Amino acid sequence: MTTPAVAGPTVLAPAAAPRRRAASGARGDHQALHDAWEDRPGLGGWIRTVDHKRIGVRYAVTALTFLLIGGLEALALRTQLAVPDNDLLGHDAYNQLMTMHGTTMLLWFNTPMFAAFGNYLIPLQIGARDMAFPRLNALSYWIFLLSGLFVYTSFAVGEAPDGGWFAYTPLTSSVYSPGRNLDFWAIGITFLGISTTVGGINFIVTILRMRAPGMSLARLPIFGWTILTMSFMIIFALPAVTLAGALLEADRALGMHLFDPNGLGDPLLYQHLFWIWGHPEVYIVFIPATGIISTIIPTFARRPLAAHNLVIASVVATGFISFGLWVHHMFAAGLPFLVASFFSAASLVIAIPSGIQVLAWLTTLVEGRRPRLDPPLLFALGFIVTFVLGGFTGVMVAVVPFDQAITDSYFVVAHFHYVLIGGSVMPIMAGLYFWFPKVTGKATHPWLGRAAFAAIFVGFHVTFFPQHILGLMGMPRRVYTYGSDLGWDWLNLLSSIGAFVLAAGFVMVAVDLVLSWWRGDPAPDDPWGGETLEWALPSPPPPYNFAAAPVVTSPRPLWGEPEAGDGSAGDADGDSGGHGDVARATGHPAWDPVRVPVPTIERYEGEVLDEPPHGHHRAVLTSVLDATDVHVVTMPGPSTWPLALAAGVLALSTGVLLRSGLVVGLASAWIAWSFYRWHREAT
Amino acid sequence: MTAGTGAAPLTTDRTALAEARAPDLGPTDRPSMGPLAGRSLAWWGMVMAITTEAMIFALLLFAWFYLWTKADRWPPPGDPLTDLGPFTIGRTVLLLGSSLPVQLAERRVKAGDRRGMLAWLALGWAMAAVFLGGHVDETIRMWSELRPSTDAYGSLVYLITNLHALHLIIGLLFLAFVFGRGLQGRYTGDGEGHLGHGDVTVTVLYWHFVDAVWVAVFSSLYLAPHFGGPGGG
Amino acid sequence: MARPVTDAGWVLDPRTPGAEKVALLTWLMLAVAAIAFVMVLGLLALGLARRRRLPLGAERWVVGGGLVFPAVVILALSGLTVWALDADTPPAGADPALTVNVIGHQYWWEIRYQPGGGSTVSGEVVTANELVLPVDQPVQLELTSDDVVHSFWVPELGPKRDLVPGRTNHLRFTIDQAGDLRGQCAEFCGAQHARMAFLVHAVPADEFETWLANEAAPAPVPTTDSQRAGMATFQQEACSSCHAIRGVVDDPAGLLGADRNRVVIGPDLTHLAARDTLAAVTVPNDRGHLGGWIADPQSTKPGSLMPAVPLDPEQLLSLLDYLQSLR
Ligand code: HEA
Ligand code: HEA
Ligand code: HEC
Ligand code: CUA
Ligand SMILES: [Cu+2]
Repeated sequence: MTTPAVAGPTVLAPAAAPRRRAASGARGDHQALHDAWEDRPGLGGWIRTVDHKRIGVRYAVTALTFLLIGGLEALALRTQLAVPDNDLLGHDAYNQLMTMHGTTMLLWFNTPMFAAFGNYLIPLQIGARDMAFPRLNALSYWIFLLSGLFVYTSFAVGEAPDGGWFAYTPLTSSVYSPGRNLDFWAIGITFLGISTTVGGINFIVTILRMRAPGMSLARLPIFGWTILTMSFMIIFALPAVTLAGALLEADRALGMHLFDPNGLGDPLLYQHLFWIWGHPEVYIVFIPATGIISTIIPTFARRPLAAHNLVIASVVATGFISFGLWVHHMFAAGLPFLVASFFSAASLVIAIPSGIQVLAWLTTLVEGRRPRLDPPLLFALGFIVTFVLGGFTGVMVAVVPFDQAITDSYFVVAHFHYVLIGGSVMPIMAGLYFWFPKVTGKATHPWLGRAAFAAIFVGFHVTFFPQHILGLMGMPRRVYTYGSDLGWDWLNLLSSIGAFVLAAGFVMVAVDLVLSWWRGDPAPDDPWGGETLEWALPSPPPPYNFAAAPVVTSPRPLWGEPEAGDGSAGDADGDSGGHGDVARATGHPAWDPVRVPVPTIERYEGEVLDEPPHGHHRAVLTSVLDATDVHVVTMPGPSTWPLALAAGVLALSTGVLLRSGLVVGLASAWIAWSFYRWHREAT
Repeated sequence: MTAGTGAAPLTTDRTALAEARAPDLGPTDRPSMGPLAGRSLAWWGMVMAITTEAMIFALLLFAWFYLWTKADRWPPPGDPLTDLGPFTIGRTVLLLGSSLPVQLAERRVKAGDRRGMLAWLALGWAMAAVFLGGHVDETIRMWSELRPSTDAYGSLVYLITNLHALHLIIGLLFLAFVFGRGLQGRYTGDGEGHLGHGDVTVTVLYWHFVDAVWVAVFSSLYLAPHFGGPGGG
Repeated sequence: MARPVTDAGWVLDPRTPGAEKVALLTWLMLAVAAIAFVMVLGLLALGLARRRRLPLGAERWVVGGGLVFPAVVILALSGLTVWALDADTPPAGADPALTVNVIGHQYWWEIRYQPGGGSTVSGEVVTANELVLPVDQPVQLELTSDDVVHSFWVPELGPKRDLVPGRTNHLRFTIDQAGDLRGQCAEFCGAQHARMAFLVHAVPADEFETWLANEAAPAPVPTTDSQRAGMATFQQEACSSCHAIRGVVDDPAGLLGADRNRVVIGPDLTHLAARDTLAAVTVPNDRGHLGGWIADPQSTKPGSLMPAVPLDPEQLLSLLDYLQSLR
């Protein structure tokens, strides 16, 4: 771990904040505040908590557990494919593991993982005490957890989903898949969708209304922009998959015909609905990953992100454009030439916002101070290299004639693992290492993280690079075995070997994080010299986050202006454009950020912010655009009802699975009752 | 900016805020977003929830028109047209009309007039309940000729109208909740908080949404097939 | 036609003009990607290697490398898309010499030739799992599916196309080189998606005509006692409820003429012995594998929709004699 790179007090830490009352004990400074926000000890407090930090950590642990499960499934797949004509796994087992691998990785690991980062970091970075809807936040988590348990029961009853992660009809209709396998899938994703949607709404409202006074949207940290964009994409895109899943289930359970060509339906309607969500989904797991990278690289380079505003514009543009690309997953379905060309062009255009971001990261590195190769930066660099390759193959498959040649082959499998693991999982690893000291107060092992990176980087490319060639050699995806006469043997073997190296890398990360948390050395509050507000808090932050409302006057609240400062311009538009100019003008490129203190509001309209009346959760609201118009409001506190309601949704899903009207009815009543109790308690 | 002093000064109320204001955004107390200023968190949450719900209906209607363009005739031969008689028109008018009393209820609660609020809520509730009764009646009548399992047309007719009905039922439950709390005299009408008029405002917003959805459903499922459209019919 | 096909295929070994364009496009894109990747690595190396801050003028680089450069590449690619797709659409009015219906079934391919005016053969010719096609003649495939979505893919022939129930998709190409190719179903279709392959034999036009004429004929009449016994077994046992052998069993499902859609359950076996492989290129078509397949299809291709039909050893041997005579 580096030594603190910048000097200066971390002013929001209780120790450094002005003492308004005599200290009494360790937390004496803000005892009333502490009492109001601290969860009660024991199981009750654990279940009832609405603390976004606890929920965030919970999200992370659960999602990483799903990474482990999905990864073990992948290893099973790779073991089966290591040699030709292997009969280790039958087609049944393979198809179930393949389907659950894709579904788990994207839906129960990757998307929730960003809910984890968002949950933990967004309130800290925007200077808030909690999310806008703390109880809905708890609900999101419980539903995420229970829906995961729900789909995974399918393995226990031997009927795991086996239709591939996009479950195309008619294969998944009751005619061709009579078992309950696909019911688990269709009900499970609809169930999970509630969690994702509620989470998305929560992030939007939190970011729009809970920013610290003065943090106009232009000063929102870039990670906040990516979570905001992701959340808007969720609320617009998710209904499509909810509908695809629900309509599939309606076809299966109620004998409807929406996708049945013999009943005036159309299998392609399903494909459209699925990909109207499915495409934005892959950017839903990519955009916040870029937010992590855009946070880490400037911190390590000690130079504000180059072309800051252009990068934000690119993030938002990617979000918009991603809604116009879905048909590129259907280029072989036989759609009209014009339709295909339009979606091809749109898919190519998306290279521009990605290109802008890649160049912004690279130039930030070049113009910055030479960085230390700590694990967060290593993973960020691994991300750039890998993602760029995956992006290039993405551009290739966006070209219709090429896509028609290699779609549904291992070339596509290679493309999407490059962008998913390179573009999303490596940033996640970077983020885990970057914020680990903040979350736990502990430092990670001095070299284990670097070794883990090496294993992951090398293992990854050994696993997935050969798959491009396999695709060009005609190997289709989703085959549980292949003949020995096809020339695919040694590339597959190589890929399987790589998978185990890759897995070893993840295991090293896991070991490092678990051991360090358990008995690692204490870390300083701000080991990297970060630019956002969370680094001004102690590690781990107190339950209430901020004793007083920080006042934010720059997009990088903890970094002062460049010494040859370019006045107010840089601070107003959040652009660092001035910096290159400064460097050129002065011939003195050093731009070492100085740690500056953050002014705070301690009292607002008579209310002393660290003495909440009646021990309520009191938080500050501001206006949407410029974060003025401060209000102090009472937030809902801990409650059992989110879990109760989530359990009701689990019962409802089980009722649909079992085709039991009685269970569905009782569960609906329970949900309505929980909702009533929840709301009544809140008012 | 108070840089360089090492510790933040104890600022009071608006001082720090004034310093924090972005130069181009004007004075602090300028209403920053017109009518959106000062809306409660719950209101914002409801707007987002409505957005995502609206997408569901939009996609269902997309499916409706998508399959329509694929079909030779719509409704398919042998399937009944949806009922566009005076009964349907009547209940449509009733449902859309219910937005008015419900809106007035919000106005009354803001004025601190509890009885007025309750009366308007009850009226809106009753109008919508009649509409819902009409929906049940229509379903029963249609059942002998058309079922969700008949073909994709039947599937969509039942799916869309019943999904709307489900939203309506949820809306009725919300209204009932607000009515109950109003009866207990919980609402002061002061401010956007739950116990001001927040609950009512948010419920009313949802109610308007359910009505607006009906306009789209009615035009697509009831009006359009009567007047032809893509794929003829 | 006993040329074994051993290697899988290779997208960059094109056999049609359309696929040639795609191959060229692929090389071109790989080259541009390589150049761009080197540029990225260069900047990255610079970022890690230089000792001091290097004031590049970041914005200019971002706009140049991240906006202008990809924009140029995109424009070029859009043009090339149109150029390469063009091969896929034949000139208006050009009638394909040959139309073939390819119908997907869970784990095998039904193939129905509709010979054009130029052919000596008239009427539909039905076979399975092996497409024999003439070189240098435009061919049109009409693709659909009887059950779930499948996808037709021969790497050397360019685009793949899905077989979607309820629609007919088209694929047109002219093969310019004789040879055997392997194709495989590319859309996940259930248990044996992995073993749903097929062969393409591209042959000179005259060879094709000979082959087609042979395929069009009804099944050869059995000439030995054993073959006759095998034929009887075939007719009496369950085989005949799923498989057609034209001239012997014409209506396996017993539904032709009834007011129902055409029902095809298993591959047409009229000229089974003329095929190289069995069960969608799962095993070679020789006596041992044929016997093994009929005795226990589920061990050869687990999950396939053909059940094991209980037969005593004599029945099986005579059945094999008969089936092997179906040239
Ligand atoms: C993190 C997730 C992620 C990301 C970021 C991307 C990024 C892209 N993807 Fe990918 N994609 C997936 C996840 C992702 N994809 C998944 C999961 C599937 C498969 C689903 C399934 O079938 O199971 C898929 C499939 C998929 C297909 C369908 C393939 C098929 O099934 O046949 C297509 C086709 O257009 C495509 C295109 C693209 C494009 C154009 C980009 C672009 O955004 C890439 C842009 C980035 C760059 C181009 C690199 C940086 C740019 C520069 C350095 C500037 C210079 C650039 C140029 C000169 C061009 N993707
Ligand atoms: C983010 C998404 C994601 C991730 C991370 C991965 C990770 C991996 N994937 Fe996969 N994959 C998909 C998404 C993903 N995949 C999707 C969407 C499909 C398509 C499915 C379909 O066709 O329907 C697919 C399909 C797919 C296939 C094709 C199957 C087929 O078509 O038949 C293969 C084959 O090689 C494969 C391999 C792998 C391997 C070896 C890994 C390895 O990286 C896995 C290694 C990881 C581990 C072994 C876990 C170790 C974890 C821990 C020890 C705990 C972690 C804790 C901490 C770090 C703290 N994946
Ligand atoms: C219930 C239907 C059914 C019955 C009964 C049945 N088959 Fe089949 N048969 C199939 C199907 C389906 C296939 C395609 C299997 C595949 O490739 O997945 C097939 C494939 C075959 C093939 C391979 C054809 C090819 O071109 O590759 C042969 C040979 C065959 N069957 C012979 C027989 C014989 C002989 C019998 C009777 C003893 C029989 N079948 C009974 C359904 C049936
Ligand atoms: Cu047929 Cu895959
Ligand atoms: Cu996509």
